[in-house]
Amino acid sequence: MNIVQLKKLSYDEVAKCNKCGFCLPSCPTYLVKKAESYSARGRNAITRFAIENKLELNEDTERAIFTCLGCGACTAVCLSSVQTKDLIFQNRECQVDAGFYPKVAKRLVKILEESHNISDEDQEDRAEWQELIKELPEDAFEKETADVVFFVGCVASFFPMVQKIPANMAKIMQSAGVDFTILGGEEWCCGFPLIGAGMPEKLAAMKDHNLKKVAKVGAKTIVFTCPSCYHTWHHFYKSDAKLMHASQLILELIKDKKIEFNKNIKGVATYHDPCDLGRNTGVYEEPREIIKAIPGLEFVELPMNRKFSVCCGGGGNVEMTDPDLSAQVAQTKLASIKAVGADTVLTACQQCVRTMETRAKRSKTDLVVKDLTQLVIEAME
Amino acid sequence: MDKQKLIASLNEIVGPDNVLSSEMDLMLYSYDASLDKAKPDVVVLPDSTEEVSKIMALAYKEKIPILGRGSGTNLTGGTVPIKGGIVVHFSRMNRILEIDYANRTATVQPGVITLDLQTEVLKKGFVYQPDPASQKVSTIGGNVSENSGGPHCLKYGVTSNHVQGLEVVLNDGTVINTGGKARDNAGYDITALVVGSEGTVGLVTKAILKLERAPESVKTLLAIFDAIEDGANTVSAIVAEGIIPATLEMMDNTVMRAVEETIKVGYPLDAACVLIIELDGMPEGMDDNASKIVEICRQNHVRDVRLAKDEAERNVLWAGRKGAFGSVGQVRPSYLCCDGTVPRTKLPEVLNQVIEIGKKYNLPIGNVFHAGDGNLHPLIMFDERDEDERSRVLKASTEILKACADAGGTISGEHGVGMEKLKETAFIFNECDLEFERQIKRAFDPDDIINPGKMIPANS
Amino acid sequence: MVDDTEKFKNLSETLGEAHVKTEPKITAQYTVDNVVPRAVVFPKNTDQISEVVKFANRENLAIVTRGSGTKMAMGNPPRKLDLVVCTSRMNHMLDVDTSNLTMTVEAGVKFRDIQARLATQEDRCYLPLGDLEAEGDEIICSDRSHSGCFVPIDPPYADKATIGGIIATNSTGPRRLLYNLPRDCIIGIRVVAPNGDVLGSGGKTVKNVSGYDVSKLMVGSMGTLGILCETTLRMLPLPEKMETLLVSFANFSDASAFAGRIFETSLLPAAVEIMNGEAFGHLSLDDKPDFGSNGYVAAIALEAFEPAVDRMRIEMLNMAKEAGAGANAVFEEEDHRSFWLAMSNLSATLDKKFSGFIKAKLNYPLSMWKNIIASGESIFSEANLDYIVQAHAGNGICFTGLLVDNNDTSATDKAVEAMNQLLAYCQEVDGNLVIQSAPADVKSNLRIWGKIGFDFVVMKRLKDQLDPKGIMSPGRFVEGL
Repeated sequence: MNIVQLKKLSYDEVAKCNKCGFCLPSCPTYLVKKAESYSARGRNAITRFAIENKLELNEDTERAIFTCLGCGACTAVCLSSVQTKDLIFQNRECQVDAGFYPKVAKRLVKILEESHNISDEDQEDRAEWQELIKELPEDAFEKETADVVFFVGCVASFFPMVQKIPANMAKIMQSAGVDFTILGGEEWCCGFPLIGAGMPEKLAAMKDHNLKKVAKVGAKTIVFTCPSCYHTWHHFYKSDAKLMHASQLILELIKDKKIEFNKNIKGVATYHDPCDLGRNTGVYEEPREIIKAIPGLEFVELPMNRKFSVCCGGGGNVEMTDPDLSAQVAQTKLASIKAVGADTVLTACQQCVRTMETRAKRSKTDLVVKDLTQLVIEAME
Repeated sequence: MDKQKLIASLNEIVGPDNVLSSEMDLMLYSYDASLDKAKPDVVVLPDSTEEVSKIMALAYKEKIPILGRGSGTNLTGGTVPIKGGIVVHFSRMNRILEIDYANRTATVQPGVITLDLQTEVLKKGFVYQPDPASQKVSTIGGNVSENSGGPHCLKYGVTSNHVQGLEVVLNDGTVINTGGKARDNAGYDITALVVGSEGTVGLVTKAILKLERAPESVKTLLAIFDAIEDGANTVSAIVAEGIIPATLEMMDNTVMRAVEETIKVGYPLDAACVLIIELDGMPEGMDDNASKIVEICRQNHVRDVRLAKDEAERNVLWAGRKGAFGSVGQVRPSYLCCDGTVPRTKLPEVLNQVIEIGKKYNLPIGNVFHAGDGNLHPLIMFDERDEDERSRVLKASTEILKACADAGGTISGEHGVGMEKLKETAFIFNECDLEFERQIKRAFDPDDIINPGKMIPANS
Repeated sequence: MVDDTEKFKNLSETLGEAHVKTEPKITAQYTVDNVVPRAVVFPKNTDQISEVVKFANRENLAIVTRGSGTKMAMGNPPRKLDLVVCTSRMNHMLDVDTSNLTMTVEAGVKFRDIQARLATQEDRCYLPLGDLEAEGDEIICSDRSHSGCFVPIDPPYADKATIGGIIATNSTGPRRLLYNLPRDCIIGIRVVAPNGDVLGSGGKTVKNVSGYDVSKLMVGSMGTLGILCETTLRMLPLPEKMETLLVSFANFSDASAFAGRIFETSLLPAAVEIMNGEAFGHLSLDDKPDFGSNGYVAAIALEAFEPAVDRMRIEMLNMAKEAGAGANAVFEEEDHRSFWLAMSNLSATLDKKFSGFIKAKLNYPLSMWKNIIASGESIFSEANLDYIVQAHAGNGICFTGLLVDNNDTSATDKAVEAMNQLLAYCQEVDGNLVIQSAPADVKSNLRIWGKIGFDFVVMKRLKDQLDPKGIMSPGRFVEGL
C-alpha cells in the first residue's frame, strides 16, 4: 500500500484522534518504554504525519509501528473510538511497501508460503501433540467426517511448551463424547501473522485452503483453542460453520453435564483475558463461568479485566520483532497478577501461556500459568 | 550549541537510550492535546532530580529553551516547544516516593499519573482532592504547572489548595525546596507561585501533596432539563441559596450524545442538558440539603431528578462526564475548548452568548463544564484539516473569551493561557499587570529559556 | 529633629493636609519596634496609595503599611522607616455579591465589619455582634445583605484587624481546620507595586489560572512586595448550627489522645484546639467554666448541619470520656461565637497584661505535635516560666506565649533562651518557630523568622526584581528582605 492509498483508507479515521492522550496509560509498550513513539497516540500521529507528507516512513517509524502489540486496549479507552489497531496494521502495509519492515517478518512470510506453518516444520508433524495422550492410537483424531473440526493452530501444534493444550482439549471432547476431528497435516496457518506483518493480501491462499478442508469434513462447528485463529476466522474468513472458542464449547459441555468435576483444586487463581478472545472478539464470561464451576478454587479478578485487560506481551508479532520489549510487557503483567495475591494465572490462549510462563521462569516468579483446558482436565480427574 | 554536541552532552547525563532526536521522535513531541505544533530539537527522559538539574544547567549555560512535559494533555499549547530546544519528558520519573498518612501527605515525582495516586491512597480511606477530567492520564507535574481544577474543585479548591511543597530545579540548575510537610512556612509563598506558572519558572521534580480523609458519604444527583437556560438558572440559584455542593456540572445535549456513543451512561438523549450534582461529607443533613436542591431544580422547571442508586451508577455517570472532551471526536474530528470563566451569577447570560456565537460562525458547540465554578468549556467542534473552518473556530473562540471577560470573568479557569490565548490576555490585563508578571518571570528566568513564549505576551 | 513638613508638602497636596502627619506627637504613635516614622499618611483610595508609593520612589523613602496596628510587633525591626501608610480610610466594601458568594473590599476594612455586613436579618453573624466594641467614631457597617454568609477566615484580633493586615500576615486561627487559610479564600487583588504601578490579578471568579497567582504571592508577604489595596474574597453560607464543646483533661497526654481519636474518624469539626490551663484561664469570657488551672482544655468548634453537630457532640463527648476527660461544657450559638472571639483575642489580652509578652507560632509536620508540645512544656517549666500553649490540632500549628514582665530582666533572658531552644527543636523535626510579637528591645536576641527555607534564594531574587530600591518594609521580613 502506498501513502495515497493509505490516505484514502485511514485519513478520516486517524483524524478522529484529538490527541487527548487517554490511551497512554493503557498502552503496554508505552508503559514500558515511556516514550511517545511507543504509544497509541504517537503511532496514530506517525500515520497522520505520513499521510500529510510531514514525515517519511523509515527505520524509526518501522520500529514504532512494528512494536504495537495489536492488543486494542487503546481503542477500548478511546473516547472517539479511534480504531488504532486497524490503523497500525494498515500502516504496516505501507511500511512493507516502502521496504521498512522487520527482517523476521520477511522470513515469516516465506516460511508460511513454503511450509504453511509459522515454525518452518514439516506439516506432517502437526498432530505430534497426540503423543502426549497415553495409549492413543496414531491419528485417532483424524476422521473423514465429523460434527466438529478442532482447529489447533500453529503455536500449539509445534511449541512443546503448549502442546498439552490441544491434548487436553481433545481429551475433554473425547470424554464428553463430542464427534470431532482435526485436520492434521491439512491444517494450514490461519494467516493471522500476515495481518500483523502488514501483508494481509497473502492471507487469501491460507483462507481458501482451510475453508475447503473444513467444508470437506462437513462440520457444522469449528472449535479453536487459539484466540487468534478464532479471531481471524471471525473477522477475515467467511464460513457457514459455527465458530466456537474452546471455552464456549467446554461451558456448554459443563452445562449439559457431559463433563463433571470430581476434584477440588486448591489455591487462588486469577484470569487473564487474551486480547483476541476478549476485547477483540467479545468472549469474556464463558471462561469465568468455567473457573467458577471448578470446586475449591478461589477466584480473584485483575483490576484491569475484560475489555480493559492488559496484553501479556505476546501480541502483534512483537515477540519476534522485539523480544525484549515483549518480555518487559510480560514482566509488568506478572507483577499485576502477583499484586492481587494469585498463585495461579489462568488464561485461554497458548500464546499468553507461552509468554507468561517463559517470563515467570526466567524471572523466577513463583506463579503457575495454566490454560483453561488444563484446569478442566485436572478437575475432571 | 551545535545539535550533535548538545545530544552528546545529554547522552552523557541520561544515557543515549533516553535522548530522542530522530525526525520522527521530534515530530511526536511537537504536539499536545491543543491545536498547536512546534518541534523541539531534542527530547530527554531523565530519571532523577540530579539529571534534571544537570540538563537545566546545560540549557542555562548554552541558553537553550527547555520545557517540561508529562502526558502532553495540555489544551492550550503549554507543552508545545514553540521556540524549539529541549523537551524534558518526565515519564520515567513516575514514582510515588512516600505516602505519609500520619502527616497526611504524599510525596511524588512529577510523572505520577494523578489517578494512580488517588487509587493508591483510597485503599486507606484517603483522597487527594483535585480531579481533573484527564486524571486517568494527566500527571501531577502537569497538574501542578497548570493548577488543574476538576469537578470536585467547587467544594475543595483547585490543585493549588492541595500542594504543600515542591522541589523545583531553577534556571541555573539549583535545586530548591518550597514549603514542606509543615504548613505555613515563613517567607513568600513560592509554592503558590510555581503552581499554575505553566512551567515557566522552573522544572518541578517533586511534589508534596495534601491528603484528606475520604468523605463518609456521597450522594449523586442527575437533574434533567428541557431548556439550557433552566439548567443555568438552577446553577446560579443553588449557589445564591448558599449551597455549595461537592460538584455542580453541566452537560448539554450535543455532548451527551457524543458520550453515549462510547460510554453507555444512559443520559436522557432528548433532554437539553443535565446537571450532575454531588453532595459529600457527613451523611447527617445531606438529605435535607438534597431536598433543597431538588426544590430549586423544580422551581426552574426540571423534568426529572434521578439519584444514583449505588457506586456503580455513580461511576458510570462520572465516566461519561470525564470522557466528554475526547468523545466529541464522535461528532467532528477536532475541537477547541474555551476555558473562559465567569462569576456564577453571569452563567445564564454568557451561556446564551456562547450559543449565539456558535450560530454566527456556523459551528457546532458542545457544552460540558464546571457550572458551579462558572467555569465554561464550550467545545467548538470542527475538522482542523479544513482551513476555513479552523479560522472561524479561532475567531469564535476569541469572541467567547471576550464575552467571559466582559462579564467580569477571565480567559482561563483551569487550562492555562499557554500559547493559544496570549493575545486574549489583553481582555483582562493591562500593561502594568503584564509587566509585573514579566518581572516575576525575570526573577526566575532572566534569559527566558524556560518554556518561553507562553502565558505572558511579549512586550509590545 | 528635622522638620519634614516641607518635604512632605507634595504629598499633602495629593492627600490633603489633614492626611499627612509629621507632628512628633502623632508619629510617635506609629512607631515600628520603637523606630519613629517621619510621616504617617492616610490615603483614601488605591490611586492615592499609588501616588504615595511613587513619591517614596522618587524620594527614596522606606514604607511600612499599617491597618489597625494589631500585628506591628511582627518581624524584625525595620532597617529604615520613613513613611507609615495607614489604610484606615480605605474602608469601603466595593462589591458584596452574595449571589456569587464573593465580595471585594478595600484593605482597611475591618474583618468584623465584613462579617457584620453578611449577617442575617436576625443578626446571626459569624462574629458575636453584641461583643464587638465600637471605638469612638466607628460604626459597624449597617448596610446588611441579610444573606447569612461569612468569610471563612478565623484570624487573631478578629475584632480589630483589617482584612489587609490579615492577608499581609497570613493570619489564621483554630478554625482553619475546616475552612483552610486566607490563601485559599482570596481570589483577586489590586495592589500598588513597589514602583507605584496599580495592578490587578484574579477577580470574581472562583477559578482562575490566567497568569501567575499574584494574589497568593501577596498573602503573608508582610507588605514587602507592594501595598495591598483591594481584595476579592470568597464566602460561605453560615453553618446551620454552631456549637462549642469544652472538655477538661488532667494533662496534655489525655487531651492529645482525645484529639488523636477525633482525627481517626470522618467527623468534620471546624476546630480542635488544645490549650493549657494557663491559656484557658486568661480567656476574657463571661461565665467561663471553672476547669482548674493545672490541666489542659480541649475546645472543639462544631459548625455544620444540625444533625451533624448533634452526632459529633455525642460521639466526641464519648471519646472524651474514654480518654479520661474531666468536666465538660457545651456552648451554643452566641456563646459559641463569643468563645471563639475570646480565643481570637487571647494575644491582645496577654499583651496588655504582660509587658514582656513573647509570642511564637510553631509549625511542624502534623504527627510531631505531641513531641513539640512536650518539648515546649519541658523547656518552659525548666526555665520556671509561665506560659500559654494553644495548639491548632490537626493543622500542625501551635501558638505559645511566655508571660513575662519586661522589667524582669532575668525572666526575659530566660524567655529568650527558651524560645531559641524550642526553635532548635522545631528545626530538628522539619518545623519552624516564628516570633509573632516581642518587645523591640529583645528582638535582637531572637531569630524572629526562625530557620531560612531552601527557597530563600528565589525570595531574594523576587524581592530584588520587584522592589529593586528596597523601599517596601525594608528589613522586617525573612532574612531582612
